[in-house]
Amino acid sequence: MKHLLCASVNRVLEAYHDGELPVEEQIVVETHLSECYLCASEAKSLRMVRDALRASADVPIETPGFVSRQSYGMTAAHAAAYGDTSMNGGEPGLARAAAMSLDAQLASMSSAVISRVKAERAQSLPSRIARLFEDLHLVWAALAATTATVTAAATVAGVLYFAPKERSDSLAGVLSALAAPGSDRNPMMLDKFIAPPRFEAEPIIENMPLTTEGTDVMLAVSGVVTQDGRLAFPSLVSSSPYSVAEDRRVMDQVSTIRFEPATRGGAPVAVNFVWLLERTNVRGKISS
Amino acid sequence: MAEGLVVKPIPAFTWADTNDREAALIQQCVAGDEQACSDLVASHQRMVYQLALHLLADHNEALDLSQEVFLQVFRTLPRFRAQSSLRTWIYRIVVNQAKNRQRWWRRRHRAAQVSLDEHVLAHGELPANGNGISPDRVFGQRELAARLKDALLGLPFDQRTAIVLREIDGLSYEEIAFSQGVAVGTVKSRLARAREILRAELRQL
Repeated sequence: MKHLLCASVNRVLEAYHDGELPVEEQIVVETHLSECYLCASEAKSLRMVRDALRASADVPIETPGFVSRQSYGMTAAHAAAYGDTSMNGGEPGLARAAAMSLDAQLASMSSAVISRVKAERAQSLPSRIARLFEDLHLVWAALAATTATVTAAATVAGVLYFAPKERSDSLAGVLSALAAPGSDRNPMMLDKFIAPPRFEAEPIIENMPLTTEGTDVMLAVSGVVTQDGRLAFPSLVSSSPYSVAEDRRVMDQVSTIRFEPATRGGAPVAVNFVWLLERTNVRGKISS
Repeated sequence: MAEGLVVKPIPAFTWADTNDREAALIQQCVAGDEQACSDLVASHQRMVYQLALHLLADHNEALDLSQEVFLQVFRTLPRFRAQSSLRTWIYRIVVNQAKNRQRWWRRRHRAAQVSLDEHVLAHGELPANGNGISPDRVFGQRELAARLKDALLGLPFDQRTAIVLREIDGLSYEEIAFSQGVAVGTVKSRLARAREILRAELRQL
């Protein structure tokens, strides 16, 4: 068997006392203690601390209802703690009554805890959500309303995205025209920010007929000058002195004329446009 | 030697050692079974109360703390991952709550107050009330326990917790370390310092 020096034993004495040493070391220390008075007394003092602590643990500390303070000298709890039953003779059942009182207090603490935990659980988020679903009438109503909203939104989206934009009278066509001012479908009014359409050279409408009286004629033609310079949707604004056939001949010539389109910030835009056509008779002065 | 062959006990505690019954109890508590919750409190309340009483040295405080501890236990039970035994885990909560309360209490100068009952219990100055028991006969034991209790209350909180968990509750170093949230080495040094003071106190008697 291995023998240990006192210094080595002292180092592990607390671990030995606490039962934390491996079994073989425990036995070696045990053997040393049986032979060495000094180390044994060290070990004994550790045990005394433990015993005193355990004894003091049984001394009640300010425990109303747990110990009868009037019965001083030796309380029932002390008597019970030290196993001296003879001392308990004066107050039979006192320790039991005191202990029951503590039990009662612990039991009431326990029920307080349980009811508090129940209350906390009842107020917790999951149980509140669960309660919301207890009355399904509301859920059905909410589901129906949600479905109706989603259906309506889908219908609107369908109208917008699946209707042909090419048709100018379709909702999508109107929306896309509104979204693009200055396009051919949504011509702008001329204002100071727009450079008006021009001609390279002043066009002449050929064979504009004379009126029956042979006086001057002025026609106003309205239309849209498109982004590529055509005159779209031409129509006569002022009343025409001509026959229908003559009107058509004039309008046919008008619609073949090309403009330099109006520009806004350098980009061509379609604009509403009114064009005045005039036929002037130049007469020589007849000298008398 | 009176204590004979002291053999290292099989540790009641190993990591992840939560037996089936305990695991089932925990599951039932988490699921909201009232009876299981009640059982859990019943099986641990005395242990919690005793530890709280040793750490705070006040019956009402200890009861109050026990209640707080169990509320905390039920609030955090769903997060209990069995990295320790349930008992050690509850000890840890007690220690933390007691530590917080200790700080709060100290700020309010509780240390300066001594109730008459405590004084009387500690020093035994009142005469016996004639029930035939010689005060001398009990003085030794009572005085020893009371002096030790005073010395214990005089220890720093961490040392007091360590020595109470070891000597009264019988926890292993590893369990104490988990309860206090420190390394085993720290536990050993806390125990050593606490014992040094308590042994010095005993020698004076």
